[in-house]
Amino acid sequence: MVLSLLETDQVVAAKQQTRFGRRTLSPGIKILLWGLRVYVVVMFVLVVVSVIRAIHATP
Amino acid sequence: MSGRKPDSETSSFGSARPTTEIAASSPVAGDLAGLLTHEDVDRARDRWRVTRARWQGRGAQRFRPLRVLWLLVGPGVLVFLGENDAPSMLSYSATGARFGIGFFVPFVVLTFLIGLVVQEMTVRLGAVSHRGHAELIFDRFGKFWGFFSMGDLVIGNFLTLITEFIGIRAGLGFFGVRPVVAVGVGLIAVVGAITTGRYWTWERITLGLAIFNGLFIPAAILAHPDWPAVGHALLTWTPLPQGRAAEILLLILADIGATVTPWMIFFQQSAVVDKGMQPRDIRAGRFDTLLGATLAAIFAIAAILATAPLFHHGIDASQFQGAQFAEALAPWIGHVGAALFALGIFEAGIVAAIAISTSSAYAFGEVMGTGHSLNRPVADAWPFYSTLLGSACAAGALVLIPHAPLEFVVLTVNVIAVLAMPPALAFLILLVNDRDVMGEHVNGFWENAAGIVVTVLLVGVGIAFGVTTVFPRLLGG
Repeated sequence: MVLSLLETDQVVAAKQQTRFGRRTLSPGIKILLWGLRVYVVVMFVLVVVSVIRAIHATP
Repeated sequence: MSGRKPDSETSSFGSARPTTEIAASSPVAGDLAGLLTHEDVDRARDRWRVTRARWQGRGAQRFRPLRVLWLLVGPGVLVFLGENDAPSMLSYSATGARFGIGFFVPFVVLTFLIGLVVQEMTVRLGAVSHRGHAELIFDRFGKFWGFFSMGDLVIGNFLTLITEFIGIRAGLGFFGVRPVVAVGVGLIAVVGAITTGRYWTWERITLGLAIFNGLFIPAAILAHPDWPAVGHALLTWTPLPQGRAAEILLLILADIGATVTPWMIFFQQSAVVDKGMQPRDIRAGRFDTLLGATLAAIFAIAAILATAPLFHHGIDASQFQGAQFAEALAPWIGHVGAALFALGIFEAGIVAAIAISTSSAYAFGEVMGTGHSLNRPVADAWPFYSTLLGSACAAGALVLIPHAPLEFVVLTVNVIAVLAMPPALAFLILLVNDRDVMGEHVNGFWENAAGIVVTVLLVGVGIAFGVTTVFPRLLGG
């Protein structure tokens, strides 16, 4: 009954034993992912700067 | 672009692929029958309810679609009402107090449309792949990119959890409840929701709490808003906000971050998987997501309208924290209205604390390969439940530290959410275009166009924030 209600991939044992596998990343996608990663790191630094400025501005 | 590593990723069960093959028809059905778990049985029970609702007899045909929708509604409503959390409702309140009824009313509607575009993709991804978002990123992109994604999620989630407990403390503080008691109430709610060991029960309890986000509606009505002005604003996006451009930009960022955040992607996909949704349920999942976005947008606009009296009376709310909004509103919306507002902030914190701590636990379990389902009893999935409770307890404890500079966390958490979204969106769009994962359910042209426009918009807004931070005088800051 359980197996007739679930798809194969929904069964815990099947899901644990199977993987979709690593995809091949094209150079364009790698550049995109790295670019966005650098963007986030730079932005996080700027948030810290912004917070420090706010702390110093607080009486 | 696509490809899979052969052999090393296969097993006696074959390799994962997009299929709707029922397990009973599978060549390995015999093997699977002997390996069923408590989680499988609970998920099958939930599927049986949906199947039975779909095949109800002639007498109940009229209500069949409604019954199926009732059973399948959940992840979408929870993710959007969970995102109407304490810092988000406070961002909307600050918006109403600072700028009144105008540009930001339709702008908030736009942000929920953006959220809808993003979250709809997670429904398809979860229903087709039966994998959580963190698990898929690790599978398809490897550990390097997986840990980067997880890093963003863990930092963002923990900071956000802190703000939820700040909201819980502030909301109950209006009623004179001591902080340690308020935080304790919040933790009891998180514990209470998970003690059933059933995803279905957890979902219904949390939905029941989430609907109280609607408390902002009576608060808004008691503020006697200028309804023609609301209609005018929705149609014309005016009056435009007046003031320092840097301040307006920060509120724009905070309002976007109040609607689209990385945890929403991870949470809804994992909840769709835990709920046992299948590709045939995608339409219902879209409705669920649309319903969630609509309700959340209405409640968000209600928060703006509720605090508009502060704008009209020239009250400076720029330094207000949670309970101070309620106290400041009392002269204009009455003590009942102020109490409803404070209860709304409390509710916003409670539901988000439950949803966000669950999102962290799902991601941790998916990455570590341990049990990660609310259908598992605590003994079977103690790492999952430990992460869930541990993150909530740590955030609650921090809020009780005297003189902790938490107001800066509140100020920045929504901004951080917006800044962390572009990489999360990139992975989402890449995955939902991955035919090896999605099969026939890959994005169409318009879905890709919408997703790319949203990503570019968020990057642009983030860059604008960065420029104004580096050159504060550029916009008169």
